[in-house]
Amino acid sequence: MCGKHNPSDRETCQHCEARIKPKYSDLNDEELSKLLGLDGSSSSEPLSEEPYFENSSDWLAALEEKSLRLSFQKDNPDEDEAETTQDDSQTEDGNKLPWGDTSENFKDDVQEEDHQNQSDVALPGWLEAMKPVDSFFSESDDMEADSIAVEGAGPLAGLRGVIAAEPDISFSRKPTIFSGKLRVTEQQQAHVALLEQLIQSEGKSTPISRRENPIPARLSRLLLACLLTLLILFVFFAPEFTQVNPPDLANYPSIWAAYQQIEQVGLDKPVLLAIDYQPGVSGEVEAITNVLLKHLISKNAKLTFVSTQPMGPMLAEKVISRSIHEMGISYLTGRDYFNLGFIPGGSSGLLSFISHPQQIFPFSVDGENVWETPVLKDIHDVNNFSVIIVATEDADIARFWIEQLTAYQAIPSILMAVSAQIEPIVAPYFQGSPLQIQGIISGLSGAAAYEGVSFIPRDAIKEYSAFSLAGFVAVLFIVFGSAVSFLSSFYSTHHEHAKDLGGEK
Amino acid sequence: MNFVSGFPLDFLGSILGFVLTLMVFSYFFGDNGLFRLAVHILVGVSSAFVVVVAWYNVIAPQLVYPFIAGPSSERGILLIPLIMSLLLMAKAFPRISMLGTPVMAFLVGVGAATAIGGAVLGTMMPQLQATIAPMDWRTVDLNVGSSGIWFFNGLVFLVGVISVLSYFHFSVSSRRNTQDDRSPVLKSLAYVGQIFVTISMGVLFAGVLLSTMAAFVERWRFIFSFFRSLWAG
Repeated sequence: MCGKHNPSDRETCQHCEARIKPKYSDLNDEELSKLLGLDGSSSSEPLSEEPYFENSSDWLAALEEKSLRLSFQKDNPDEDEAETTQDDSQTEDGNKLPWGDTSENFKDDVQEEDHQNQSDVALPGWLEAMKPVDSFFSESDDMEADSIAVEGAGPLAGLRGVIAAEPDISFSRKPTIFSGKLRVTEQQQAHVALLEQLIQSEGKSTPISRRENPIPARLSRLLLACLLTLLILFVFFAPEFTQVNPPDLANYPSIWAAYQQIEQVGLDKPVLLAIDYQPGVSGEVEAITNVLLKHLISKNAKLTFVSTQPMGPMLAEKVISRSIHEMGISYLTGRDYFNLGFIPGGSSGLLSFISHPQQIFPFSVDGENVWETPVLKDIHDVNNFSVIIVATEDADIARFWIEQLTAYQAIPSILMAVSAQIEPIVAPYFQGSPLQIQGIISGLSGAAAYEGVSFIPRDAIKEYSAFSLAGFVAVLFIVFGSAVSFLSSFYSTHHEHAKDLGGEK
Repeated sequence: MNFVSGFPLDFLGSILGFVLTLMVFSYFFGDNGLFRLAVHILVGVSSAFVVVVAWYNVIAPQLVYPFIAGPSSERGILLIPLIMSLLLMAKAFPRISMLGTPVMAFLVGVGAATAIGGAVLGTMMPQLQATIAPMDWRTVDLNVGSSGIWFFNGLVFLVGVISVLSYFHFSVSSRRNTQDDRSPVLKSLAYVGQIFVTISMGVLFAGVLLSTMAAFVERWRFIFSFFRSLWAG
């Protein structure tokens, strides 16, 4: 049943205890006949297997009888056939030959019957030659049955002449069961414990004790926004009550230097303006560029706009249109100012423009070939411009312009019109020696201060008053809030310390 | 004033600006759908504008038109950027993305060379020279103040630069076996550098605050001007 190998003398399997040999193979004919009831006598002691004989069907009974007859004839070839009613399909306790029976008698009977059946039929010669039985089992008397090995294992156990199964194929073994326990030494356990401690400490976060604010965050944000809005609108509605003096230029040497550069530098060459700020900060930087443009337009300077930002050309058009409109003079594109467009490629494109501007911009934004105009026909590189003004709020863009112009050893003066947030980053380029830039105008205060020194129509100063008041209130809030936070944390720390001391006592 | 079918575009632009400004200001009451709608409009319009500018300002005049109508010599030269552009577009498809790798390598290499060259020649060397220049008595600028103040300023600059560089120094000697892997001198310098970094961060924050305040004031000024123009007719 299990297919494992067993010695040939065993009657039952040593692994699964299934019967290998028939139970009644040692009985003689008389005993077998008596057992099967073939001698006509009824057995006084009915066998436990016999009820199967009575209940089996006719065809099954015939098979059983035939099987027993064959066995009987093999053992007793001279005697008559005895009808048997043994059923081959009975269990091992019945008078039957179970499957896998190693009995040689059963095998011989089957083979003999096969041979008899085959000899009765006239087979063609080619079919005779194909018979595998003949190749193995010769009818010659020289071939003895004992020379053919009997298969002792597997589903073909007990048969002769079969191909011997390889032990590895026929024998199935249970898989080796390995222990689930790891063998860990003490040192390894210590290392594991240390690693666990390190990992746990990595993910642990110190809980921060959150104090409940007396005012919800949303409400405080709304109150602050409303307060600042009211202040700003009050300044717009009543400017005479909140007029602020423009910033003192003595505090802004960089603005004075920028003003002097525009005043002293010859404007026979066009001025290059790089509009490199985002629309979100146009409220601040546009105030600076507006002031600068008004100063340049008042001197009848020819302007050339470029940008390393895709939005730059549009913003350039917006700021020049606003300046022209506020000044009320005629300044035409293609004659007085030129909008070349967007410089692609970041710092690489910027370097290409610095060295070969005509190759980067074959046409302007309007689609005109501006390099044939009298203003730009002599422009071959950046050194042919009189002043270079860069307007940006991005520290990286400001550095790109300064670095590439410095590396190219550009001759024109470089002025920066920047947002207040990047003034600390740009200031070292103005304070170094030698100067890399010749002037900085930063923030709304810088625009208001430039207006004061250049005596141009004051627009930035109108916003500067509101800006100053709102900024002052914001600073008050920051200082007050920081003081309250510091005092409350100091008090809570002191209170907890006193509580700990009281608890220890 | 621009007119389209008798309707002033400037006025339409002002109305749109006013409505969008109010939508952004609605963030005072917390995150809401109006604010998100304004942000989505900003992103969408910006992206569309970038595409238009890229085509009309870069691709069409510098690649397409010269390739179509230019001389044969120019067309041959333009084949190189055209092929590189097509190979770069292969990056959008995972199966053939490896075709765009050489072009990406070329772009990255050129960009890095330009940036590094500019940083070294435009920032590092000049700023290094500017850091040690105040220590040179020959470069004293008496417009700033006395020579003592000049020297003190230079000393503060020098100490600040060295201490901040020490603060960002994270290399450790392998020969040190103590728990504290940095020398006491380096630790002291790093602490001083930390103070300078803190002050710098505070100054930058103040600049950001001023920028945002200026933008806030400018937006309210726009709303004020819009209503005043409506009132004036």
